[in-house]
Amino acid sequence: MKPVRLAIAGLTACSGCQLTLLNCEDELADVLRRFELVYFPMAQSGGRKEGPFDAALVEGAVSTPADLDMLFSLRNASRLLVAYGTCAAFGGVAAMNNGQSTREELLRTVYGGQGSLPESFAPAPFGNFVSVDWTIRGCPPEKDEVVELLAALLAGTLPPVRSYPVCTECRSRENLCLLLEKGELCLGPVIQGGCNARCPATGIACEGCRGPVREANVAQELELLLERGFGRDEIERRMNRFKPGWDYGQRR
Amino acid sequence: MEKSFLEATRLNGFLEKLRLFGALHGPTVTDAGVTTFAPVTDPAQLLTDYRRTQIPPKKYLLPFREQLLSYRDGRYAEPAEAPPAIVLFALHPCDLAGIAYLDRVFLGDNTDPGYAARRARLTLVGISCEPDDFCFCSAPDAAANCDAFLATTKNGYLFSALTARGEEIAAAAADLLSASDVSQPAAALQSGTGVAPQDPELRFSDNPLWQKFADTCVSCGACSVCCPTCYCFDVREYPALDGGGVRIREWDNCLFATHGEVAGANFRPTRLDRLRYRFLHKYCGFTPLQGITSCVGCGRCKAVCPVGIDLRELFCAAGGEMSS
Amino acid sequence: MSERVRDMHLPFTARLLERTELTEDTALFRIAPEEAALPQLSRFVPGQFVQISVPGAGEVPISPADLPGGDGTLELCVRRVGHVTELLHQQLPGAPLGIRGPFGNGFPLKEMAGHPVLLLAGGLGIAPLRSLLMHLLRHRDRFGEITLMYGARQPRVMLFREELAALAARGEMRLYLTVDFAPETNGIQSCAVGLLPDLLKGFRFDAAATYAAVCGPPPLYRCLIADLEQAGVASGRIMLSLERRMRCGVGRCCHCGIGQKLCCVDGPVFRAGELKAIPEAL
Repeated sequence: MKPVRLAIAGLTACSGCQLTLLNCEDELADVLRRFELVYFPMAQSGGRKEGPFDAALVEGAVSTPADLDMLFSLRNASRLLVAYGTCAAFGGVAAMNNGQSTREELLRTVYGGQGSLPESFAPAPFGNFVSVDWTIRGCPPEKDEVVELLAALLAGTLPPVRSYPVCTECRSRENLCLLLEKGELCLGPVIQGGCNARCPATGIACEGCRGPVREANVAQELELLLERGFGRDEIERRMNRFKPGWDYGQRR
Repeated sequence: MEKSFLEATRLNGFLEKLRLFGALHGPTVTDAGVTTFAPVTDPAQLLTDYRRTQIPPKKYLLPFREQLLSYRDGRYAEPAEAPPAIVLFALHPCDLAGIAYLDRVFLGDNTDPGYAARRARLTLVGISCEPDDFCFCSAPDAAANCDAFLATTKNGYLFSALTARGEEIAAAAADLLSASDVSQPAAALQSGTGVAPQDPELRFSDNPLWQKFADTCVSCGACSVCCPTCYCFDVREYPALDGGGVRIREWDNCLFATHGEVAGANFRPTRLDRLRYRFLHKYCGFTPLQGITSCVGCGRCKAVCPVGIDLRELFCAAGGEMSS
Repeated sequence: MSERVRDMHLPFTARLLERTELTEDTALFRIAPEEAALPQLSRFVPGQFVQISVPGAGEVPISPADLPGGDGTLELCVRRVGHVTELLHQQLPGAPLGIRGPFGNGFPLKEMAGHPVLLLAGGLGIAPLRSLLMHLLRHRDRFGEITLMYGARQPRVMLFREELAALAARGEMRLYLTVDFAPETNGIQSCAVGLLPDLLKGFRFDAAATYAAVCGPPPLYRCLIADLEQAGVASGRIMLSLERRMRCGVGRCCHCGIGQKLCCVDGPVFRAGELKAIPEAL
């Protein structure tokens, strides 16, 4: 069988998503046997970013002209483009202040002084610029979901879609409901599951790293949190941590 | 007089006898404070006067996620799983009624092999209970669908065996049982808990609660995850890196957008459509259980709903009876 | 030990023998199920469905487009629309597939015997009706007049066109084709431009005796039911083949609920009469 040709790359990001793949230690040998890692600058030198690729797994938000060039180049060179991780899918932590501050303010805060500033714009998800064939959510993504995707690529398909909120897995694991029983600022009801409620299982409220679940009842979640005494600012800040631009009136 | 009384002080000895029939599981509490059915290694872990577990005993029959098949070289195979023998102790009548309902669904025509294998290895021991504010069962002492039942009395339990396995338990625990002049409560062996079946037409009633529920439901799935009779499942297939793969099934929820979807269309596009579907399945029944309600009155859905949706309000307001 | 019952979740193996592209997104797949599957499959009644497995993607319910051949081969007309059908369309002859079934009720052939039958197909709805048509033609003497009205978006996506024309030419059935749009200049034999209901309006037939079999996209059903009833066809004789996404096929997963019925066991063929009480069905 012809090996599947992959590009694995990152734009404005922490490289954590790419690292998740390298952390799949039990599977790496199989991955190397069955895939051709044509371009994976984080793990190997001398790759060819011109492709062609069967799939490009790209992490990070788009926030510089260079990011955009890279994104277009990989999109053009690859049959499938995978938004790999929450930054690629929603903007992620880099975009959390998009609604609050101008880009210039942020750049001045970081780079200071009167000197010239690097060219950059408000971090945005891939979907704003190119078509995306598959999305892996999470900050960082679940190893299982990365392996699921790679295995599906080998089989000539994509993984089946799951679309239930964190609460479903959380309740099934018999965790204590942090929202109802402890009155915590838990985003479980509006966040896509698939993480097996990793955080609530250890007593940490869901922070929303996997982005909105399909048809999230955002308005009701907001009401639930307001009723529990959280301020609107605090709630919005938490919700924007991994995905800016929620529609707080959405009930669907 | 028949020896059927188990003094409370002899309960631990009785539990040891139950272990002869399989690994002992019963209501316990987790470190986080959640009531759950779990293995009981030390009788001190057991909660005999609990109210309800978060997840009903259906998890022993239908795990949240279960491998249906594996495949390799294009050929599918069943998993070679041999379920363990388990004694589930201290089940409330509502949960027993829940298992009875699931039995009707999964042990009927085209018996579900995974369910049947696990069910055959499960010994059920019921216990009577005290309803709380969330309960809405109509006959709290009903206990037909178990191997043995313990009706709580002042100083202990009245034991009754309801199946051949129950008789075996009675025989194994014979030295622990004593004669009693307390007679068996009359209702103890009647079945029937929960809410009366409802008129399917009520799904289109003009009750404004429909829209209110549709607006506030967050589709978190807790109501059906925690329902002792919700059994809808999704089936998905995952290839593996080595060329094989597995097909799994996983609990599903009729309130998820995907539930009524086909490629290119959705037959239950809005949350209101899906609530109607839930009402219809829960309180009116589907083929071949039309006219049978699957609500056993355990109160879990009401207890776990983040927005306090109680579908029963729909028919109470419409004139149906509500027994609480 | 009693004989071991086969796990109803376990598909039989089938091989893809041949695929024929019918349109850019629809192909006809001929598959050969393993021998052990043949006793079950030989009980196939037109209108029933099978669950086809494509290893790696999963299962999809499909209503065969013909009766099983003498050698057990089966024809499936499949549009590339979702997760499983995408992968099916990538398969080459020889590829391993899986098959379970048949499931569901199928058309009430015994009851329909002796009556005229009017088949109304819209788009891909021709596939399940083709197996019914083949049954009717194979047992031509058992049925009254057979009429097929088939509407497609445009001539290019009209399925089995030559085959249907040839059958009609044998004089065993009447055939009416219509398309929503037709390119102005084409060399192909023309057919009526218009919707199926338009075709039905001008049709003279023995409505009181007729059984109608309808399959097509959901909006088609509502207007056709009304038109058929108006023409005098009893609602109990209007048979509709409905589409839902059956996961299990045996009445458990509950995705295919239609009112209090389940499409996989009570259907997929329903009578217009029984659907009246289920407004959400169509």
